[in-house]
Amino acid sequence: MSHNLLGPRDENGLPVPVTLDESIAKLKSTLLNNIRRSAYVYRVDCGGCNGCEIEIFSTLSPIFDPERFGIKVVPSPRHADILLFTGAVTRAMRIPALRAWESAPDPKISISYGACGNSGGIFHDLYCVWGGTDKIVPVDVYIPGCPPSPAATIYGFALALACWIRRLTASSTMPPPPSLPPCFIPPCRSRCACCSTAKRDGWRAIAMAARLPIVL
Amino acid sequence: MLKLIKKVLKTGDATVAYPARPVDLAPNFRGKPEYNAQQCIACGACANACPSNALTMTTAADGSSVRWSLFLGRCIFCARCEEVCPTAAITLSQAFELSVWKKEDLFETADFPICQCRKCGKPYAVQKEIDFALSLLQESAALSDQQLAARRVQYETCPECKKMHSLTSSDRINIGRHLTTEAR
Repeated sequence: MSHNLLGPRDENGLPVPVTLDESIAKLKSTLLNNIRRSAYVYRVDCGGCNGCEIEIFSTLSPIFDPERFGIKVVPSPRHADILLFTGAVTRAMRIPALRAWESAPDPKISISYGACGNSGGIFHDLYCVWGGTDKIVPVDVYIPGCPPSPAATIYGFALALACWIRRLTASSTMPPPPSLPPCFIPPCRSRCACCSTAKRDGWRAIAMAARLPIVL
Repeated sequence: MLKLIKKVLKTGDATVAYPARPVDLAPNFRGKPEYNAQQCIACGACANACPSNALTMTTAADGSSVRWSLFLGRCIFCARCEEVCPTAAITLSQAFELSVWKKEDLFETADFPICQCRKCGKPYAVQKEIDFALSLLQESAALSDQQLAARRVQYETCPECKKMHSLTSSDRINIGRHLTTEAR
């Protein structure tokens, strides 16, 4: 029967503990020290055509499996660390989107997903369209595409994770983010996007997500 | 249940090792539009064809240059620009890792000088476009260098000045030459 058991086994058929490569072990410890938990994603539909949603769900399929990186979609913004905004922001959906953003706990990352989320896409000059997620909330990562392919989505998630690590490590020393002004236009870009070290951390996060040693 | 476990073991791992290994893309996958400013003649065909206005051509306020710009955040990767480009300056590559932290990184621009009319000095067409037309003429009509220089003068004159030129030289034309003497 022993040939039917999965993984390496000793003579008694018990699993042999997995030994890690030194580089992988180092990356794993960095990952655990930096994040210590999974990133939960909440998807906010701001009036899109549902093409982006279909592509997000194909990203969640076992083929691409973002749960490898601890990325999980949750049904409530109150559980979310990452908010994924899809669709050109329509007049009807701007308030629900803002409410979702308000109800997500800090530190949160907002991703603008797809051509519509980035700039309004082909709907950019419509009368009822705000044209872009960054018109209502501060955006940390922009994922272009119409819709972005699952692999592009995973790459975007890696950038978001980098941003999130930055936010988590910075939040203990930095003041809380300023609240939004009464108008819907945010006062500035995200703090972490302005940080000069964000890029370096981003590549580190991708390396960790990919389990690859990348020379920084 | 044993059947199911057998099937699961037989199927194996379906997950792609994407970040660790490059993902398999279809050969006709449409990724980032790769732009070659060297090849571009700034004719504006792509900006005309772009359904989402991701590609735009804008003239500088002083009329000295035309700016070609691509806003990747608006691009829908339809490859209409690749279809219409007469010089194959824009092609959709296989690059899909396009996410950025800053919106400014989604913009790509190229500036092209505008030709000033030889007569009136007003800017009227992109210099590169004129050069392209002349080189096409030289190839297809086998023009000599002297002929080409004459054509260049003609091509670098704006349409208004050309009209004015043909108006002023019309005094050489004898309008009544086909009329009979009685009618005169």
